Amino acid sequence: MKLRVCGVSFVQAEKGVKLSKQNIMKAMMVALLLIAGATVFASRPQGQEAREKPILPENYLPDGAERDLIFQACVQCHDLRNTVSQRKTAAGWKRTVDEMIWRGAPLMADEAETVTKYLSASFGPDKPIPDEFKKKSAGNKR
Amino acid sequence: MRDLVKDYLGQKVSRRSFINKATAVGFSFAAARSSLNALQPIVRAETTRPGTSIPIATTKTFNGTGGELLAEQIRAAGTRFIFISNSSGMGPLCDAVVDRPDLQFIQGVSENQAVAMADGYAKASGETSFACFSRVGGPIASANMYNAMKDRTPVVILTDHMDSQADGRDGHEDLDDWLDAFKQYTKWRWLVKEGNRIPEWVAHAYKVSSTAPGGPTFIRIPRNVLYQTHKAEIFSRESISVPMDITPNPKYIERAAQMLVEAKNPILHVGHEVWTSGGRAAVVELAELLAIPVTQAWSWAADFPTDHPLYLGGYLDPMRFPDSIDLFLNLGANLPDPGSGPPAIPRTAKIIHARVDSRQLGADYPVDLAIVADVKETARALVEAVRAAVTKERLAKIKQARWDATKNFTDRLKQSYLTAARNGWDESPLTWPRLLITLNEMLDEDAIIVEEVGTEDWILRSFPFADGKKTKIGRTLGRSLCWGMGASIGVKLARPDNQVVSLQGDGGFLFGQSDSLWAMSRYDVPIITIVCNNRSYDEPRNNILMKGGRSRQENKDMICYLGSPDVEFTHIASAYGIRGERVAHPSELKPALQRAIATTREGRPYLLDVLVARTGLLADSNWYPRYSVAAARTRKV
Repeated sequence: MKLRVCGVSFVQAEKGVKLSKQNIMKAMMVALLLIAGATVFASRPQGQEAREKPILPENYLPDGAERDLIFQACVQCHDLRNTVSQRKTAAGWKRTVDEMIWRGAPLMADEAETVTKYLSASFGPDKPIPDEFKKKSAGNKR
Repeated sequence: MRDLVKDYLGQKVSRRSFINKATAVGFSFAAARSSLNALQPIVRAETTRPGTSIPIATTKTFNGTGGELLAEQIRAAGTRFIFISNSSGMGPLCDAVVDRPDLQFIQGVSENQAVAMADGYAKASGETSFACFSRVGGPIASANMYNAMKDRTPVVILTDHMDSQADGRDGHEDLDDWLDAFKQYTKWRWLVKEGNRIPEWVAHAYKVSSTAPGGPTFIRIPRNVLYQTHKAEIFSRESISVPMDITPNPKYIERAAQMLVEAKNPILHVGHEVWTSGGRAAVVELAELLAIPVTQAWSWAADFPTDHPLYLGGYLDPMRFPDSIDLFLNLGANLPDPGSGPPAIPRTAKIIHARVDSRQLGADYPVDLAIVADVKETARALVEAVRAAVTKERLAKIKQARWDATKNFTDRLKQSYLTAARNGWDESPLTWPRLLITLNEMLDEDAIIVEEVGTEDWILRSFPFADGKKTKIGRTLGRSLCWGMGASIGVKLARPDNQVVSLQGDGGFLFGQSDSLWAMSRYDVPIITIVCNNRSYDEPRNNILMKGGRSRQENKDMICYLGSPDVEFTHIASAYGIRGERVAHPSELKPALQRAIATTREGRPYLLDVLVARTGLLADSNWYPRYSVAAARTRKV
């Protein structure tokens, strides 16, 4: 289950929000604020707008059931910046997913295969890394 | 032997008689003493249960040096092992122990390791332990004093102090305030100035340390006072024991039971007070009664059997299963770190928090019901209250669907781990799962794993930590490295008849822990030390790089690569007279473990330097910020 407003996913924010009714309400509030913010910033110079634009790594996750799986099993310990900013072969992503399961990611065996394929297709070596992930820092949860 | 145990529990035979009779029927002294130690928690429980005879508090008068008074008091408090580091100031205690062969010195070559040994001993035995060293040893010992404080381990720590005519002048080996420096690391601290009060304050230190929630206590005694002769009363062990098996208030238990019965998606979160209260079996009974899924808090113990169908692992935010938690029952742990974002426990969930450490009750979260009580007693009372609150039929109905769903989830999770573990099974260097799963197969069923590696989840997933199976001690809640090697010695002293394995990272080992090899070798401590050597601080590397800062942007691992030099840990062990070998390929692991097991069975320690794979970001990088002092010279001197 996910909620997308203005191209922004509110299934999880960077800190991994639970999908409760309250959180969905919060997400909608945030969306309204973002819309308001976008209106205010529309008249500002391009450079400043670019600096203040929030980077939401989940925007770079293509739609699909796999995307939901990632929000269920991968965001408890880290945000998605390092997921969407890395480029790996299928073997590389398989190893990464395995390592996450070794560490306790609640991902089932069949789901691991699905997620591996999804990451390989979305973030393979041939895909360009967005500039914003080369610059600004983010945080992990723990 | 069974009759002897029965007589001992019935207080018909003394400790000494128990050992004499056990050795007479063929048990070794060590085995008899180990059996006695194993019975201590039962004895303590029995002597404090209503209706049983409670020993009368006694004191006895003793006339001697301060060192002798100290020795008499720690002996009366039940101490056998004195974890000590070299110190001129411990001279009076050395003199006293010469004529008291029942007190055994176990020397550590650094104060921090002496405290680690004492901490491990206390954790494994459930008894208050005693460590002592130089008046200037506190600063180096403070890392493990801090660890003990975070874990609430009962350890009495004692040093000498400047002569009473000379202290307070910031003079030789003095500070303005030696106690203030350790305020955060100790539950209680005192400077004893009067020799005739040495036993009083030492007894008090034992009492404060052992009274739950426990913790390290710290005493300093001026050296001249330790040498002078005094007359004082020695306090018996019974007189300083404070039973803390506090039963919960029935009205709160009734309310909690009702909340549990009504909850659709409850979670039971467990922490170290489950283990220290001896309440694991009671907590399992409670979880099974209502089929409540269980999560493990950060803890130095495994507070719930890790092979149990209801065991989910660590608490995750958000939990994938169960969905929409509506009740969070916390027994004996801190509440999950709320972090800086949304609370880890959904605000929609009711929270019941029960533990003996009232300071932590309800911290950081609004709780619906807080109960100050012993965790074992709370779990037992909840079981009874739930049974009284609902019919068997309703109980069965509540339980069945939840049990099936949880078991299905945990079964699939275990299968997923094993599937992922098989990937890379034959890789060299070894993967973590290959090492851990093989260890589980090869070690004794009741082996004790003393671990100080970065990621506990893969330890908890790889071993069945449960009654009659393996036991986990470590990692500390404080997580200050330099604990595990010394702690494993203390654990082996407390549990000599269990196989003990010290599981270390190479990074953790290099935090000054080779010191402990000296004690392992001197005292024939048959421990298998396994250094999981990936030439990297895996966790900090990933934590730093995940922030996405300049290190990540430039792919520069600034402080986590540990190669260059590639440390040969077996050479370090060899310097202490300890045999060992390197395991570089998976095929070498089992034969090496067999040799390690055989050597420990013969009574000597053994060290395995196992090359394991790095994981995560920049795992393949050998880069580090190079600098050569030699190259910076202008003269070849």
